[in-house]
Amino acid sequence: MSASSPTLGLALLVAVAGGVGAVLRALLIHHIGLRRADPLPVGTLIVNGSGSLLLGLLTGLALYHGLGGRYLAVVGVGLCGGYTTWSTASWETVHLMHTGHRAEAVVYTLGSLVVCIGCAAAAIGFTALI
Amino acid sequence: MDTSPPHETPDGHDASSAAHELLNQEGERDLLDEPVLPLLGLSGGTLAAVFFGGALGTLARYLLEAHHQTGSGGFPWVTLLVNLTGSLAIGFLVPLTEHAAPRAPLLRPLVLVGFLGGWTTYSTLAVEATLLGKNGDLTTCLAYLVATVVGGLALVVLGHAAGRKVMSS
Repeated sequence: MSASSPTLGLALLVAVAGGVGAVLRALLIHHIGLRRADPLPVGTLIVNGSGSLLLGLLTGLALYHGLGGRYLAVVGVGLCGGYTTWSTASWETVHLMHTGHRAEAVVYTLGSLVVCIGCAAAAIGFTALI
Repeated sequence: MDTSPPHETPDGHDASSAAHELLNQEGERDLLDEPVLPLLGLSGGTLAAVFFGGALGTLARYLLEAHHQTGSGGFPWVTLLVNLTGSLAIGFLVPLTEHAAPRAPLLRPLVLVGFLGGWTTYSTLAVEATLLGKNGDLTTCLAYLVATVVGGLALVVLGHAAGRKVMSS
């Protein structure tokens, strides 16, 4: 992906967008976690899947419809990057294994990959059609 | 989510940390430490800490990506580096911050949820894997995914072991 080269203003916008994305992620994971009893971290999966869908749309719009690098930087690298997380997902997998939920750990890791790549691929495919 | 707090493994804990976990069971459903505001469920201080940590982590990743752009079809080294270092850091910092959490309740929201969440990314991982697959670079795509998943999980385990060793010494 080619985002615009960083100017101070653009870097600040990317940072703010990343902060907003992180807050949205924390709220969603917190509230979804409160409503579920099983050990699967569904909140993180929903966050990562929806973020992959949005970044796929932006990437496709940049590839096929000339969306500018500044938008890709702020909404893609900033918002989607701050919103989605790999560190929490990998921690959750190891935590599932440590607490004896081995099957859930495998389902969560592979399921996340399939859902997120599926969302990104569907979004990029969609932008190629419109 | 489990009723046990998912931020720390229950195996091999001493009585004080078990008591700490019991005290915090109500609120600790994720890496954050407290339930408060009725609407948002998290305090303004927690959300501000997540915001600043997330902004810093995202900015750091953006500057690294902007100066080391991966060409089309190339191996996504930058995202791999970002995600692997994030895995090592979260594994190491979870045990390190566990006992500090009651005294410094904004530490985990700032560093674990905010900074490391902003520093690492799943959306870029998914889009890069998709573009590699779409361009027919299936070997690179598979190598990238295996390196991220296997490397990431191994580094969480390694970081966690190191963090616990530091805490017990």
